[in-house]
Amino acid sequence: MSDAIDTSGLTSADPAVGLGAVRALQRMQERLEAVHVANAREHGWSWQAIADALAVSRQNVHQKYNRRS
Amino acid sequence: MLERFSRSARVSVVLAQEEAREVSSEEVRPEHLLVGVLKSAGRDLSGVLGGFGLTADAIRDRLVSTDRPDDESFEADAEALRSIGIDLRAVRDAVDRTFGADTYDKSLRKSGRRRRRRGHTPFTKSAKKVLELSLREALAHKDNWIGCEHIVLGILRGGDKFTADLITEHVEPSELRAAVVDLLDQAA
Repeated sequence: MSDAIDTSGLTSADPAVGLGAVRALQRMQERLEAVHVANAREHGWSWQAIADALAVSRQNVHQKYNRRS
Repeated sequence: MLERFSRSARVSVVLAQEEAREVSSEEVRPEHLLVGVLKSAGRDLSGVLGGFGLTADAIRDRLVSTDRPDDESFEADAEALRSIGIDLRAVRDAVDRTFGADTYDKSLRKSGRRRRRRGHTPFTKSAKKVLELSLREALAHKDNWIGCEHIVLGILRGGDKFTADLITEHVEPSELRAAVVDLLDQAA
């Protein structure tokens, strides 16, 4: 973790590098969101409260994560 | 709704579920319904679809190649994120330290998101919509049964982008729609 990270992607002119990083970021975001939504539910948070925290609609969160029906 | 489905239409739905499982999809999506219908369509419909080059094999090939296993993508993602200064391993370690081993890798399953229950592969919203639309197509056509033809129309009407693109590689959706409607008119 201490070794310097190469941040050339930030300024790289190669679209493949930049777009690849954005896609990877998106996948990381999906996973982190899933982890923290699950954690919030375990802590008794309502779908509305989770939605507010994520700044999205309640329906959006509910449909994405509550697949029990 | 399923009781109004013809035998081959029911088979197509079952095959769609099998198809989803085979390509390790956790959900049945419209493209899986397309493969199901291509496999189970009767002679006349098969003829129309095959005439456009729409066959189960042709579509399946595209599904396999666009399938992206999550676990293998970790290394590639870690590499890509390095370029913008994010250490994905550190992120994963931090998550696992706080929430338990393997939490990060299993996050999409554990959270209830895209969950898969034993022996049952759920339909996505857009796949359910395809089935509802196939019912509507049958009603609009005054057919008192739902066949593979109606499911094809439902897929076209549903407008799922990925599936529409798969079809467009072979035929314009409007042309396919006209051909299937013709078929229904002949049968009526």
